[in-house]
Amino acid sequence: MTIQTLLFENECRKHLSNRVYWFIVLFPCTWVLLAFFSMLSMPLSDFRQIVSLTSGDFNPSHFYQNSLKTPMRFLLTIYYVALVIYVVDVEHSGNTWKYLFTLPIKPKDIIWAKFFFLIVSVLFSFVLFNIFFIISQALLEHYRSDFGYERYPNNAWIVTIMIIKIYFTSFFNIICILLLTLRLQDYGLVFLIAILVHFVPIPPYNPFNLYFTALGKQHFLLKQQGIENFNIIYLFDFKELLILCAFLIPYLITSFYSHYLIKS
Amino acid sequence: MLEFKDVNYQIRQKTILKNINISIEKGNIYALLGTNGAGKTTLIKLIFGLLRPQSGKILFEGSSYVYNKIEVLRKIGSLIEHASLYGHLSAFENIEQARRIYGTEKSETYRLLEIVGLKDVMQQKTKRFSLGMKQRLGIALAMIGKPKLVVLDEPTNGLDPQGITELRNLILHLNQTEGTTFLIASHHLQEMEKIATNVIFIERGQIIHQEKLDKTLPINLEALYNQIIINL
Repeated sequence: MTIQTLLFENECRKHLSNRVYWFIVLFPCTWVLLAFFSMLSMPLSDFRQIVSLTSGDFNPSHFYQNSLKTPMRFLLTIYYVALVIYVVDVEHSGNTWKYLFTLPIKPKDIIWAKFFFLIVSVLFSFVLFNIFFIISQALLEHYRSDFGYERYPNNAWIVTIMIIKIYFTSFFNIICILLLTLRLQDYGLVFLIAILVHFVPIPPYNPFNLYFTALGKQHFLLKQQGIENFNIIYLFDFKELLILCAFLIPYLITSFYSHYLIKS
Repeated sequence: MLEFKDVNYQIRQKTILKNINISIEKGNIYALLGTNGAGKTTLIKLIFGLLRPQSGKILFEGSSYVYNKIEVLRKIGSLIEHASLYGHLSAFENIEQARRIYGTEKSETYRLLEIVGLKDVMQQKTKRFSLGMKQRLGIALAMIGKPKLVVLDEPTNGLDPQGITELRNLILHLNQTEGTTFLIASHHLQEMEKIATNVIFIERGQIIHQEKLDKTLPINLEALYNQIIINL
């Protein structure tokens, strides 16, 4: 067994027994549950009103799929940041970085093992997300027949391909976030940068900047799919956006201030 | 065993270590003594190859770090300040993490847990351990690769008197039964005079004194230190 395999095995043993890891990996799936329950409890009149105000596409499958895929990149950014910070922080909180670097292994092998573990975790959460999505779609078709599912085609595979693309083009983000976390060792600042990078993908992108290139690639793929305004506001209704801001803004302000207070 | 030959280390023109010449002999317990900021931790980082000296040589059993760092590190164990443990894992799982890297037998984990007196609680999560228990587990972690030299950096920091006594007895036991050489960096002179066979005093990045202690005579490291400082 090579040292890389051993380190990867160690990473798995280390994290799979931690509840925090499962909480983070299941985070993207909570969005499916949220969308599913809001769709399940939505009155038919509200559904028609929202559809006519936004896309005008009355296909309930599309409405449900859009409500998942539109905030996907933003949610994945949060997910990646949380996952990377967790994987790095496990070593910081236990003072184990120092010990790891005194072991007879190359430091680059330690970082590669962590990176592969992150990739596997992303793949794992992707599989879980799709299982949740397919089951919830089937349940909706069964329980909300009043939306008129039988009249419209259900192109669930399209959204699955879209989610695959979003997941995989975001691998660059993981590398960037991992490097940022290791370099800065300030989780609040890393979160802040990742969120800012998410909100600043305005063309023209800087081709020399990996982070922006990754985001540019996502934008290009989404344009090919016919999505012009891939923005958080695209399908969120105002109330949801407010709720999200209520959670995010205090966190961002706290992170920002804590960073500068610590530095000063 | 471990030799520093005219080692110099500096950061941005500032000299941190100057002309360090040390020779660590097998089977002894060395106390590396000095005030905070004297250069003890930098010296330890050099031992583990975490820093590279600008000039001079560091040799382990005659071979240089530059060419076979991994092989050298295989023979050196470490406990740097507080034990490096994953709180959500048990004592057993923590040692297993390191054992797999060293490729030693699984029985070695049980043996070390027995030696450090933690076999009965080996399935408990280490976040529930007292600081003394954590430090003993840290010693077990340092010993997992059957090292020839174990480097401890301020191992008694934060320990209560009982914890210090337990740790002291454990170091003496391992030194006598396994023949392990210890290099302990500390500023607790009274504690070190109870276990050290050799002392190395370091101040402002320079070795100011080193000697082999005569254990048949009463030792007062504080008096010795004060005398050296006056003569400087």
